[in-house]
Amino acid sequence: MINIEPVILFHLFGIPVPDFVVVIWGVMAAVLVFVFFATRRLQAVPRGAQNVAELMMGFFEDLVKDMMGEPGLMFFPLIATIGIFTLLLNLAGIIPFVDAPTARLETTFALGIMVFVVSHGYAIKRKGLGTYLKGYIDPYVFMLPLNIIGELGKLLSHSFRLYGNMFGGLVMTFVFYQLVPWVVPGVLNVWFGVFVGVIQSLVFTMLAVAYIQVLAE
Amino acid sequence: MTDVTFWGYVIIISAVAIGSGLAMIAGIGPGIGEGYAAGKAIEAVARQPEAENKIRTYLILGDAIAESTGIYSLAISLFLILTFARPLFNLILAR
Repeated sequence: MINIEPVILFHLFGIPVPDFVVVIWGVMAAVLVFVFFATRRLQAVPRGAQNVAELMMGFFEDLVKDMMGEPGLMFFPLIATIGIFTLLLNLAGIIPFVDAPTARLETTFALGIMVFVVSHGYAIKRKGLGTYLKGYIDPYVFMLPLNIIGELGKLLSHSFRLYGNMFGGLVMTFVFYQLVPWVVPGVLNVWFGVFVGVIQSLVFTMLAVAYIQVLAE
Repeated sequence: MTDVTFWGYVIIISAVAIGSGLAMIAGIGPGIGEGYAAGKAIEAVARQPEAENKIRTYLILGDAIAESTGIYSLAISLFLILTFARPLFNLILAR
């Protein structure tokens, strides 16, 4: 059943906890357990879990280094977290009876706001408030509203793209579930979860780096 | 809910259905864009076969970003149906 309103499972300290947040906690717990085992016996020649962890970190490190150069490594932890977080949340949709948490606007918009604040904050810190604000009336003064809308548009399109892909995939599998239960939706769900999920997570991460970089210089 | 008559609900649901159908027109854009991009990618691979990996990566990333407008319209139309049409439909059935 696809519901737009969040399904509140229980209240924690008076704060309602919807179902997709519990799934996010599950994913976080799984990552913690994996990292715990990956870093038990650190060897020079990595094997098994440690190898996988190093591959992931290496991938995101190269991604950041290619796009932002050496000073950009300051954002490596943030970008690696966004990358792994969105990747695992997209893949969490494959588990039967578990909807991908990124198929909800709350999750993706929260990530989008995070990237928005980081990119603008870093631009202000690096260029100083004056030049940052002057950037909005770049070619001509009357470009001000356009530039502001452009910036907000980036935030909206960034988070809406991930949400739209995963939500569309969810509804497609739900529609097929009505027609042919348990055969076609399984394959479709894996397709939307894996192929679309991995690419959208990569696009989300690379755009996050691009937004930070384009505002910084 | 105020006493909206039966036909009131029918009008709203039909309007939502038409709206969500119209929203899907934006699917034309990504279709043309990605087709064009794929064509150019094939030309690039033909010109430089050894750069195929890089070209494939850029093609897939470009497609994912070009697809965003189509995905927005999909999200909007699904959103319209699931937030307006379905509750009203249940309301009518419950009557």
